[in-house]
Amino acid sequence: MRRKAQRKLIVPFLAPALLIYAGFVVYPALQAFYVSLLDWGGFTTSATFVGTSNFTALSSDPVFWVSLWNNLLLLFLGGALVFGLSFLFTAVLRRGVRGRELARAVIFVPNIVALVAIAFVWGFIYNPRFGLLNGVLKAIGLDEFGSTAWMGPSLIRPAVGIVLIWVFVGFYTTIFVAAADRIPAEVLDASRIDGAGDLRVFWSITLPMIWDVVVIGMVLWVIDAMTQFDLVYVIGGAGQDPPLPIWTLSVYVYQEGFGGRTPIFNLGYATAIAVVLTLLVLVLVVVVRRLRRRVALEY
Amino acid sequence: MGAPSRGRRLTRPTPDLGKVVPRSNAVRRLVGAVPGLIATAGIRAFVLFWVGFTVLVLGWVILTSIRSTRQLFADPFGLPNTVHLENFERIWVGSGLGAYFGNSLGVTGIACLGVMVVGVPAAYALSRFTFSGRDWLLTGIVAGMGVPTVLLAVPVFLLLNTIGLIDSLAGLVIVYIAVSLPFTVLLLTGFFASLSQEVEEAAMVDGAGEFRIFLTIMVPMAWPGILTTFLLNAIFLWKEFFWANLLVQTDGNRTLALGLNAVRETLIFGSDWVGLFAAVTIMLVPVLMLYALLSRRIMKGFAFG
Repeated sequence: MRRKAQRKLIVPFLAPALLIYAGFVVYPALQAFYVSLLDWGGFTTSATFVGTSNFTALSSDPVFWVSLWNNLLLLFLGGALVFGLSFLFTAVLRRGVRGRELARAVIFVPNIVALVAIAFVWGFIYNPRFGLLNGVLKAIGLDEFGSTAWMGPSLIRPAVGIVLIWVFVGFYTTIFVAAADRIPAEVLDASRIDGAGDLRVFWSITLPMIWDVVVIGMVLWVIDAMTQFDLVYVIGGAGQDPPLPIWTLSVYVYQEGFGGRTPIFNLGYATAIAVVLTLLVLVLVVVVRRLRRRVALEY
Repeated sequence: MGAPSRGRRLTRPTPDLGKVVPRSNAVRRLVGAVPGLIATAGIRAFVLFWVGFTVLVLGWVILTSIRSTRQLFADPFGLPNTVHLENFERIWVGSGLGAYFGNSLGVTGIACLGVMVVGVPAAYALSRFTFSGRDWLLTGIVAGMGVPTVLLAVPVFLLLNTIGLIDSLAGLVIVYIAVSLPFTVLLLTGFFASLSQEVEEAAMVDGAGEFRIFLTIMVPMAWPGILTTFLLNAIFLWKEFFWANLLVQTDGNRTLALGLNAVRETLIFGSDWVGLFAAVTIMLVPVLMLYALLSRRIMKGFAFG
């Protein structure tokens, strides 16, 4: 009886969401696979079907490999730092620590700020002539480093990496602290009586108990790291191309399809890069999800 | 999330509470705890540094927005000696940030309401109705979170071009609703699934229809979750850059994130650094105020799993 009453509502409840989602996410995603097989020089010109030649061209495209390398560097090296720091922060931001709520609220803040704004502020911090970083270095007597070009070709990767780590540690710490808060107090108190420090408790108890959330975090990180666009795109300044040493695959897709000081509208090739990126994300997500525990912990 | 995986191994051992620290004598235990305590103190100091740095950066940006350019370079770290609110006037009117602000407010507001209007009933059906294909549908929608935005770029651009919504705020709103759905449905199904059956069944006994139960009982009960989802969407869309940058072409349709990026060059070439920081502050303050009011709720909203 109940089922029957519900059945009448299923369609009106689901249809609007599914229509919008199908029209603006599913259909375009499928269409992208077709577009990636075209040689298409712009929205007004006609396209020719070229099969997989966009993909074969990719394999010998140095910009593609630089962009992919940057994504992988962010994913693995950046990921180790982001997760390592988030674990340390979660370990010490345990319940009952003074100032904890304020600390976790502030740590999250970079995530609510537009990356455009973050790019400006760090651009000013890193500015070689009057930036805050060089100002501080000079003020504490480290004059030989006081005019470093932090955004120069040799340092731009770590410089941008630090900004991304500053943002994402806030996000993952927030997730992990929220998960750790659901562990019953008795479990943690018992270990504390044994004299275990915060790190010990985190490593032996908290981490195993929040492991499934950590894996969800890793899935989100795969997506975040592999599709990073905003910061790289804007940090070099509007009206100029982003600095090549930090291009990611998403930036390359945009530059190839729409961007550049003189847009080239290489739509088929751009979409082929996006297809490769999508398949990479898919594979990585499937692999990471296998890290989940087989047996659920009941607590 | 999803069906339980059939991983072959236990990745982490189940914690064994008795073995955290060997139960020898009290002195050895105390001595053994010392490196741990030092490590904890060190990490706490680092957290304090991290928090302090973040607060100082934000505070410095806001303070700098009321400095004069001369004072910024003479004494960048001091408190401003005079308040230059005209920085804001210059940016708001002169650089047109007021118009961008209005566009952002409208687009974010309408898109957030829109995604709730379509997302709340959908999430309700996906979490509390039983019908075949339900889990499959839910997985399909949530999987959208993993679709790289750039994959959709060319086809969505084409689609909006065909239906005449390219370079329009309406087109941007529709895209925002579509791309916010996966996250919205993920959070909301979690909230709806956590509500108790009993109230719902009591209402059934009272003869309330399914739609009335949804509207007058379940939605109010899930209200904290709905509000959290709304706020998170508002924060994400307020700062959204990729789609706005792709779809908006004319100056009058720019959102704040775009406008900020556009005025940046002009301001830097004119050495109007304080104006730049006033612009950043205009973007920052609304979302910081919202966050200060509701950060606790937002923190809790992240407790998925």
